[in-house]
This record gives sequence, C-alpha cells and structure tokens, in this order.
Amino acid sequence: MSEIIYLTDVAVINCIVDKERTDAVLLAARDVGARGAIVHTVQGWGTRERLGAWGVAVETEKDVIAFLVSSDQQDLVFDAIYQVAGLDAPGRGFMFISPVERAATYVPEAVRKQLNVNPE
Amino acid sequence: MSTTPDSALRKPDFPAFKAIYCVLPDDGTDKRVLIELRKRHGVIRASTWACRGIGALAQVKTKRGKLPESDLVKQLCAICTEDQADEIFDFIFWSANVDKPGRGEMWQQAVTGCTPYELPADIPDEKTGA
Repeated sequence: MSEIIYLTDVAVINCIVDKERTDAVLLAARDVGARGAIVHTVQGWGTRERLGAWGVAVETEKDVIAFLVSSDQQDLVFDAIYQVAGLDAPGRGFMFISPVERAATYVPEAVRKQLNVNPE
Repeated sequence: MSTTPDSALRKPDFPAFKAIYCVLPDDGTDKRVLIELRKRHGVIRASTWACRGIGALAQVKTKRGKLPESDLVKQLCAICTEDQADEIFDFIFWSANVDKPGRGEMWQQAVTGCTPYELPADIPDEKTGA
C-alpha cells in the first residue's frame, strides 16, 4: 500500500448556469487548464419567476458545475467561466469559490518518482 | 432565517466539523462505502447522489473543440467531526480505491455549523432483517 499524497492549495468552483450553457462553460474551463468537472442537473428557482421587459419565465432547468482546481488557477478559470456563461447579464446564474483543505486522487507513477513518494 | 444572538453565542462551543466529498464511479462503491462508514466509524451524516463526470484527461477520442462523452458518476458527501477527519478521509481513499486510475477524486472542506442527526433505533438491517 503506497502513501496518500495530500494535495493542498486547491479550491472548488461551483457554477450555476442554464443547461444550454453547460458545454460552453466546460470547454472554456478545459481550455484554461481545468482537469475535470462534475455536473448536477437541478431544478432551480431563484428569487423571481419572470425576468425582463417581456416577462419571460425563467428557465428552471439548471446545471450546477463543480470544478476542483489549484489555487493558482482559480482566478483564471473563474474569469473564463464568467465570460462564457455571461454572468454579467441579469438572471444568467452565479458562481462561487470555496477553499479546500486537502484533496487526493490517483497520482501517476512518474509524478510519484519525481516527488520521491513511494516509487514502486 | 436569521442568526439569533443566543445561537451566535453557542457557536464557539460547537464541535468543528469537516465535509469530505468523493467522486466515485457508478459501480456500487458509493453504497458499500456508506455502509462501512456507518458500521466501522459511526458516520451517518453521509449521502450520495448521481451526477455527470467529465474528465479532461480521459483517454478518449473527441473532435476538436468538443468535450468527451460524460460518465455517470456518484458523488459522496460525509460529514464528520474534526477529530475523525483524518481517519475518515484515509478510510474513504483506500476503501474506494481512489489511488487507482479512473477511480475519482476526493477533497475535504471545513464546515462552520452542523445540526445533530440520529437514525431511529428500531430499523431492521437491510440485509439480515434483524
């Protein structure tokens, strides 16, 4: 059994957007270095049911997208998502970053050797 | 709901809790881990839910500018006290084989408040019925 490599300086970015924008958000995040994402489909109601001059009903089918990113990357990924998701427009969604104390995942053998942690 | 002065005063005495999240493949690992968390460590503030997982490093062919096909994955969340956190984190890591490729990832976050949670005592065991 090898040793767990605890990853620190990690953050979770959670983003709530309309379903139709999910793929664009994922692509934008990948392009700036996000390694992966988890998507939950949710039924989301905000504080208003209708928006805009025409009183269009707010789309309630939302996706919550979670990205686990390094602290160095978090601003870059955050900015990229913000632009693509159009979060500067009213009613498009919102996002937030929360700190992670530690993370763990599969670390390839080559990286383990580089770090000199339990090379097999 | 607003925080009353009384509850605000109680918060410093409240034990510190941690939330441990884990993304797992949809192969029943999540249920097995949940059962073991309850039996071995007494952790009952735990749940799992289904979500789509998209791994950018997955070795699959995709068209340029397209995302790889997403996988159905399970996300597990366990709430435990700060004292238990190291033990629970390592336990989930090894029992869910997170150290193997394609087995997911896990992370731990601080929780600033948590309600007590208990299960009724007279629930028969799902497998034995006892």
